[in-house]
Amino acid sequence: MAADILTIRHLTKTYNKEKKAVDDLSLTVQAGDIYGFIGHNGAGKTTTIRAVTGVMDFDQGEIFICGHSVKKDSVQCKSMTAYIPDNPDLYEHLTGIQYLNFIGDIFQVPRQEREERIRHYGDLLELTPNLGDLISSYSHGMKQKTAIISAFLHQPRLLVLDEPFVGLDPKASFDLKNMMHELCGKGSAIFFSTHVLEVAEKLCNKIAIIKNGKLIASGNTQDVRGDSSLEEVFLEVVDHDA
Amino acid sequence: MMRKCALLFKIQLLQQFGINRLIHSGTSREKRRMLLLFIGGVLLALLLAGYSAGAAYGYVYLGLEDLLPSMMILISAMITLVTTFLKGNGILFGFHDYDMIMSLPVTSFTVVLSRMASVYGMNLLFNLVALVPAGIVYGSAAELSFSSWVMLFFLLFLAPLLPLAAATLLCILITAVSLRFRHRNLVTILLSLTLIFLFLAGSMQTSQWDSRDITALGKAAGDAVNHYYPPASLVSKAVVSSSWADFGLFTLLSIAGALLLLAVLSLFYTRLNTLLGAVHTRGGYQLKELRVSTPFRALFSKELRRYFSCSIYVLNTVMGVLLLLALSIALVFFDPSQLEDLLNLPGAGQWFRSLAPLIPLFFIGLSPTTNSSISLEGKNRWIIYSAPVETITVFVSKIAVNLILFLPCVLVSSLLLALGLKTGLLNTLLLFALPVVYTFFISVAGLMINLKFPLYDWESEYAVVKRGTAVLVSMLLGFLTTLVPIAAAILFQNPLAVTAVFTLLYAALTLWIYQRLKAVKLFVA
Repeated sequence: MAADILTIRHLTKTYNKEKKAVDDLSLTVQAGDIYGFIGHNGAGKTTTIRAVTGVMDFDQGEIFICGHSVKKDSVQCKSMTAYIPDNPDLYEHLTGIQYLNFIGDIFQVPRQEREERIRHYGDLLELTPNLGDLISSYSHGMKQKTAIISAFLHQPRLLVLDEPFVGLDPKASFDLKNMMHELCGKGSAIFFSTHVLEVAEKLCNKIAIIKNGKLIASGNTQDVRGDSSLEEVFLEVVDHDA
Repeated sequence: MMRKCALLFKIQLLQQFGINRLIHSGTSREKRRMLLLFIGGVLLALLLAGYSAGAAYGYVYLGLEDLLPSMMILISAMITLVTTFLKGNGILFGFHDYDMIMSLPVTSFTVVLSRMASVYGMNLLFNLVALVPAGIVYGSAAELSFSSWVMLFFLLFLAPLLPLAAATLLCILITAVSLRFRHRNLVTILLSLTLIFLFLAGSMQTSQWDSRDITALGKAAGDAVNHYYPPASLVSKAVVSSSWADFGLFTLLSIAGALLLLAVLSLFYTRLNTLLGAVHTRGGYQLKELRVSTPFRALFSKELRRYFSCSIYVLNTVMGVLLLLALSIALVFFDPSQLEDLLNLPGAGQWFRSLAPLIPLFFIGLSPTTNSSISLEGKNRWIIYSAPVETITVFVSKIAVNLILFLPCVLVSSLLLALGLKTGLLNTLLLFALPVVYTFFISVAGLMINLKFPLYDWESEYAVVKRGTAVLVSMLLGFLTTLVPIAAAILFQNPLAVTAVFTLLYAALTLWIYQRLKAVKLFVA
């Protein structure tokens, strides 16, 4: 039985005491899972992700990462998690290598492993020659690649991504997918949101569909999809609830 | 053209101070922030206006009212030079919507005119606050003719033009020089600081600084201004003698200078912005052995780099301690007993000596780096929010930057003040203790204020560093925490005891605020 990496129980988050962005959401991500989180714009995906990564506080419910509470053991949880937001604004006053070294220091990655991983991922994503330049000189895709390398630098138990493939060229997208499989093969888990249903269908072994803050479908991709495509299922459950 | 210029200017105005955001999406928190900003602005304006009127009245009292027009022009020039110099880059060059604006069917001249109008408007506001009270005091005391009153009125609007042109050209020059360097921000900072200090040193050059007659001192200052800044001499002749010829010449010079600048800037505007937007890339990086640090040192190093990457941040925060250093050096050569002769107040020198530990507080409290360090995280704040470090570690790294920058200057200043003023043993101890304690206090207080009044969705650091609510509140706190001990020292007639008490008080407040900081959790709202 695979270990539970991420457990969300009855998560609720309300903005300005009026709008419930997430309403009583529960799900579990196990070791080895690539868990896709799908929903329309404003459904509550980013709110959920922010709550999981400790970036946002929440009103009710509990979130555990490898058994540790995000509220009570936040530092411990963050040390096991890597997060890449949908628009990774990085420190533009640093060079790529300075940023990666900074992240390495924050996550206390030993020198040898740090250098090996930066070399490995930097060469894979073809970013190494640019690591000496300021991040302010990077294109959007290069910033995305830098954020990806920084996320994989400490080999997190849980990798949380918000729209990770936006802005990546086809080769980088392909490389990222391989990196994700490789990470999960080592016993970690990935939880990511996307609008691109074809990617979710091919990449994810588990799917959750959220609408207006509520979880309306979840489980193995094959079970959720059935005989239809994920797109058809998504449109049907979203329209049905309307 | 004017219609398009007005449209562009309107967009800038709505953006400044967050007016449009307040109108369309203002939360109650946002409205409170704007109200505080407004109240703070009004208080500051009243303070400046009061000081301006007081200074003008001083000249009238000494029988030197005819020097006031020159001094007003000088003040206007100083305000405009410094403001434009510090603001120029963010408004005129490299603004975030440059691409969009320049792709519109408008000429470069129209864009430049709209941007310059914005800078001129800001300077005009400051000039009105500084010059109107002085003008009223002067006009009443000198019993001006109607034509002189008319000239004074138009002077308010003309005075900023020449300094605006000069400061803009200096901005361009410094930017052009810094473009040749990899670390262009550091070069900009160094050149800007050099220029500001040259200007300050030059403006303090008068032939009779050792005069014990304050009237002679005032006259010498006025003569120096007229000699080194010819427009001041023109204005002085125009207003005092109601000379329309001199006023006409001043008007012609001011408008011609401004138009010339507009023409030149329009011609090279696109090229300048392109050069500014270009970034140095070298490529070909090869991985070397990496230096490993603790999380705290990594955060501290990141903070320090952040600080020096933003010239407006450096210039805004470092001026206070550099002025303190300059004053301390000057006081090494100044005998406090001269004050007694200058002000005709026996014992003034001894009082000044006993208040010495309180002098540095004003400069230290002007603008600590911490009062905007949280806001400056901006869109990057997700990094520290998701980082596996205690929040207090993040805070301490920011506080440490302020301490490492301010404490050496404070200690050197205290030493120079002790030497220059020849303070006694106890006073010397307090001269070190109070400023050091106060530096810690203002560092933690600045951070706490920024946590209460954060501003994350900025497009330019200028909005945070110069116009943020936290910066304003912090500055007011700085004034209050300087004035209160001085007032108490005078009230209780025992500066030593009062200084000792406030040293302990600020130390206790520092610890209290630090404990409260430890309980703070950082989250996206």
